[in-house]
Amino acid sequence: MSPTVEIFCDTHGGTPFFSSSEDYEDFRVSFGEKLRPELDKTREARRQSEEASRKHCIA
Amino acid sequence: MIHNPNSLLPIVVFDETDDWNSVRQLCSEYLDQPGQGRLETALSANTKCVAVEHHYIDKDYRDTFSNFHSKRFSTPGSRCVRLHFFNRQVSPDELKEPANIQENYLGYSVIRPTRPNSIGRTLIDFKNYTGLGVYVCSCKEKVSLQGTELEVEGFPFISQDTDATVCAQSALWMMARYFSNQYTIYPESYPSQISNLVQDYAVGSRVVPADGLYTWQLAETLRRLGLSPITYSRAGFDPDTFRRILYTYVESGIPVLAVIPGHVVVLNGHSSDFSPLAAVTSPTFSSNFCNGITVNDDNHIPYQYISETSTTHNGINFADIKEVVVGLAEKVFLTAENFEKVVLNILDDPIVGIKKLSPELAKEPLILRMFLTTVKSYKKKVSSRGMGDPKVESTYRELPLPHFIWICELSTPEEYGKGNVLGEIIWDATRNARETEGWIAIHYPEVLLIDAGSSLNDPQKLLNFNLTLGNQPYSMYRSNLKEV
Repeated sequence: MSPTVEIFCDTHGGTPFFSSSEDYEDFRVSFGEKLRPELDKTREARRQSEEASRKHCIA
Repeated sequence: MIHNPNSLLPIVVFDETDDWNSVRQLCSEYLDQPGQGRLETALSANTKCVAVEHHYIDKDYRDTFSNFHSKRFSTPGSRCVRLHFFNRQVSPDELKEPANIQENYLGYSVIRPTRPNSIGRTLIDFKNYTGLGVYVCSCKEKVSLQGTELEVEGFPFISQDTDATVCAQSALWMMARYFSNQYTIYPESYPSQISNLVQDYAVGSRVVPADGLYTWQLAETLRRLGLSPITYSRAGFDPDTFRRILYTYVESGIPVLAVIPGHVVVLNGHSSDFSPLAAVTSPTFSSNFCNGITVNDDNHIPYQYISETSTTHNGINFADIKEVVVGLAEKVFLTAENFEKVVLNILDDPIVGIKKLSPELAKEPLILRMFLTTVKSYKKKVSSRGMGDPKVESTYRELPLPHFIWICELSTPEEYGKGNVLGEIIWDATRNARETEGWIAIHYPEVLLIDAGSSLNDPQKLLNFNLTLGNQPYSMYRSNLKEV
């Protein structure tokens, strides 16, 4: 932990949310993995949107 | 009555003898009958007096005159008339002192010597519309009326002149002028500049007279104006998600270009009906209560209103919107639909979700209100809102935060109906949705979790603060839009 983070913790209190770096790492990985399929869907939806945008002419 | 009818600034006071027809008679080379009709529709409810500023040199009309009209064999005039609207009778002497008339000033409309559309650059103040229950993007302008400086707040409007500009350029102009009025980072752009921004793509066709643009060219124009555009289409998104995305950006104070078949308009505000709150039984986005959107359509008047059932004067209905183009600030990398996924992922998470950490929020259906804002605006309101706990207030004030943040406010049906929230999720808008380092704060009534590491440019360090005051509602954040 850098000195500035230490100072912040000392000033404001607060306790580390994860008791170990392994717990934190597990959370970080699972968070990203759970989101991945949803983000893939939104990426595909945006791709279809971009494709549709090339067809509409506005006058 | 008309004060100084033969001067350069006659003032038409509406009474038994003079009305909108008198205004048109004073500037008949400029204002045509359809133009008069539009102004009456927009302003007749409150306007009691119109000052007619002759020989007005308008920066936007001069731009199209120089780049198009002046090249024609028979040209219209190069000057305009500017009309100023007041909600009470005003005398020439009163016009000299802004303090006398500022509260009564309803805005202006530049009248061009062009046909078929004479309505040029227009900014009608929201004072003209009160008690409508809508929330609208707004910007301010200073207006000099023969040296008297007045201020007007509204959303810019212009009608197409059908030659140099059609609806696409007009809609882009309205967006661009809003952004340049609101944020100094964006330069002021004039109609021909906007048209020329996509001239590289006019291969084999003309830039002027304007024939129209494709949706992707709208996005490209916004990009060349310094924004980061995103296009959303009903072809890619289901109706509920499409509606929610559109609402979220408008709620964030970001007007969007809405493409309907053969036309484009600017969506710049919304209204809501909260009577269904009592019937909410599951997590619900605030967009579900949106019952209408305000629209600037260059073919008619500003601030029209559409919903699922009602239409604009030109018959535009919400279902007609096929695509929207959103112009985000350059540093906003996280989009609305992806932030929504982050929020739902967090709330449902077995470690940081509400079932684990917030019995208060877990026992009732949640109302979720998402928006993007700047940290400067957000921090400005932190102390006055209290944030439900002094620890939350002090932490938000002191922690370095990114320029742009996504917020999802958390509330219950009862508290949301009162305009209150009980917590929020704050995420770094410059982050990828998959990165936990985007985490700035998760605030439930019982606990505050912040990332002290990322905020201080260190590896992520998630800290937990137990909050002792419990379920303390506080006012929802309001700054992006103006209530009218």
